[in-house]
Amino acid sequence: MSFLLAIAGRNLLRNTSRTVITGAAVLFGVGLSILGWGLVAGLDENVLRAARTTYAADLLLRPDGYPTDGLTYPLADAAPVPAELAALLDDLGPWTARTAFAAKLVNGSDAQRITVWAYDGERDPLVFPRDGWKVQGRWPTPGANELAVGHSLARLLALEEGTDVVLQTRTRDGAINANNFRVVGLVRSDNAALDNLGAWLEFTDAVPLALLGDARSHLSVRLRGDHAEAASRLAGKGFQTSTLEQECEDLLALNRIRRKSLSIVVGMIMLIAAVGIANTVIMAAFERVREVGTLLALGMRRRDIRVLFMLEGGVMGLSAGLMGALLGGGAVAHLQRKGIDLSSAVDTLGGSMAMSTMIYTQFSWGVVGVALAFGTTVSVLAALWPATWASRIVPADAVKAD
Amino acid sequence: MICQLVGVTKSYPMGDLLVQALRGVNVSVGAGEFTVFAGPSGSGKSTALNLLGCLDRPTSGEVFLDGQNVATLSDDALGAVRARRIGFIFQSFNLIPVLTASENVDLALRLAGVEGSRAERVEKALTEVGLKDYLHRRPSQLSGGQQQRVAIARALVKSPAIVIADEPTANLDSTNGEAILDLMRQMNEEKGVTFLFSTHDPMVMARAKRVVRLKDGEVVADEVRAPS
Repeated sequence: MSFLLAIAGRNLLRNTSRTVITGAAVLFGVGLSILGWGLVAGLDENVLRAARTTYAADLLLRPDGYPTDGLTYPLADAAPVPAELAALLDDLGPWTARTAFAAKLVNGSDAQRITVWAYDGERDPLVFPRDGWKVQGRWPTPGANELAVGHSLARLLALEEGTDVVLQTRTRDGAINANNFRVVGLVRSDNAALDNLGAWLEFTDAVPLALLGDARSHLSVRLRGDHAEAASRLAGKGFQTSTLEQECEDLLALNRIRRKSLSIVVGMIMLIAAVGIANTVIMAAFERVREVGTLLALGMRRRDIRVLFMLEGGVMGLSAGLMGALLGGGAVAHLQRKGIDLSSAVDTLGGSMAMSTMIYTQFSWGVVGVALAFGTTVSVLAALWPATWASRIVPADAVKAD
Repeated sequence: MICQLVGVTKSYPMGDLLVQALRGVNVSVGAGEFTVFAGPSGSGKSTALNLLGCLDRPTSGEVFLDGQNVATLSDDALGAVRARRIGFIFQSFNLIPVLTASENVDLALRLAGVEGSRAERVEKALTEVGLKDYLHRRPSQLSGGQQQRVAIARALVKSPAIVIADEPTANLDSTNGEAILDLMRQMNEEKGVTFLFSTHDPMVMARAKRVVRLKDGEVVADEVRAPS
């Protein structure tokens, strides 16, 4: 077998340009599949990270009956946190309460409907450390009527540090109220949707604006233990629980579609590669009829002839696949560390997905192995028919072929 | 008797026609012969050599090699017979272009199932044909005469029962052709190797110990020559 492998390797070098062109398709297919799957896996993590670090933490609780689609934030459905629930949450891990409500942010003659997140300045950083966030300026000081806004929103309304704005909203009992605030921070969080239409306000300043009282819409918990156990302990306490994965289900489903689409694209590339390899091996077989006849005349078994040509397909597939794996895997590993900064693109396009503008790919040896095995298998199978054809050559005729 | 055709016929379909290449041929070849199968194109000489070389099977009749009827053997069994018992020298040399001279010769030993001491045997075989200094050259780096010498070494290295040489001088100039023939004759005389040729080259026939003439698929003459 090693001798056949050596011959196969040398045969591939006989027509290097043809081998390189054919191998390029395999290289591209394997490399793209690793990069694509690494990117989609990274998107999954990105979606989860965006939710985990900006509003959902490990477990999110909303009052019973409160909408969970993330599109509306009715103050009327917010509810006080029962003492029993608060004690239970203390037991489960660091937690924080927030109240989200719709408001109109007015800067001179410009206005925009936004979502305000009222938060507890002491508890909130314990659950949302804001490690990856970038803040131009600072976070609001409690009681100073200060506001932090998403950087995309700031760009939309031409807000800067120190800009005085008016925040207008309906109070919890339906009246219209407004107050003056000063913008002190422009926030680039892990969540483009929040950066686009979100503002952050201390409870101290939100309560008199919206007459919140002690009504809270979101309780976010950084769990010390198991999700399922926590959810069961929290059942029937007046708040519905939602895990991080449940919160991100829509976007994760979108990623699953992306993954399937990518698989189809990769499959088509590999099909093209397979046709190329089959063509290369067929050409090789046609060009080497006399050589095959000679090998048969010298006593080589027909199955060894078939193995020889399949090895040529396999060696080509494996070599090109290894290079594809090296390039694709290298790119994924690099982007896993460095990330892809989509902030400028999101700024331009006005992204509103609940995702970070920094996308980090996810490297997986499993994905590299599967892509490489797939590329090599396709290459070997593509060589099967021409290899079988070559093995059936009649030696008496073939040794005299031109 | 080392090989024998007994009542052999061979026919090929050609379009709607059935071409009779051999029509009841009987030929026996003894060990150490230097025999030429001669005849015009289409006479059946190459077909006869293909059968004796186990490259093909007869339509009817029997083909014996060392007493064994090889006419009914399977493809793999015929391949094994060729690998161990038969050496081939072709008109176009038929060396494997990606292998060096020594690797081409070694290939014959590998396929014959020879395990040990191959390198020594390969070097000895190539030395005997005058190519000791060309062991690591590929066929494209050798002249036609040198390539045919490698082919001779490849045919002889496994000490076959017979060597089949199909028009071995057809692609060589007269000087190289003569040298190659002299070399084969020398192997025949010194080592007793049995050579069977197919040719219409007078230079080959002049050196033959025996000439079997075929015409239209039948043996029309069988001349044994006095040693020259």
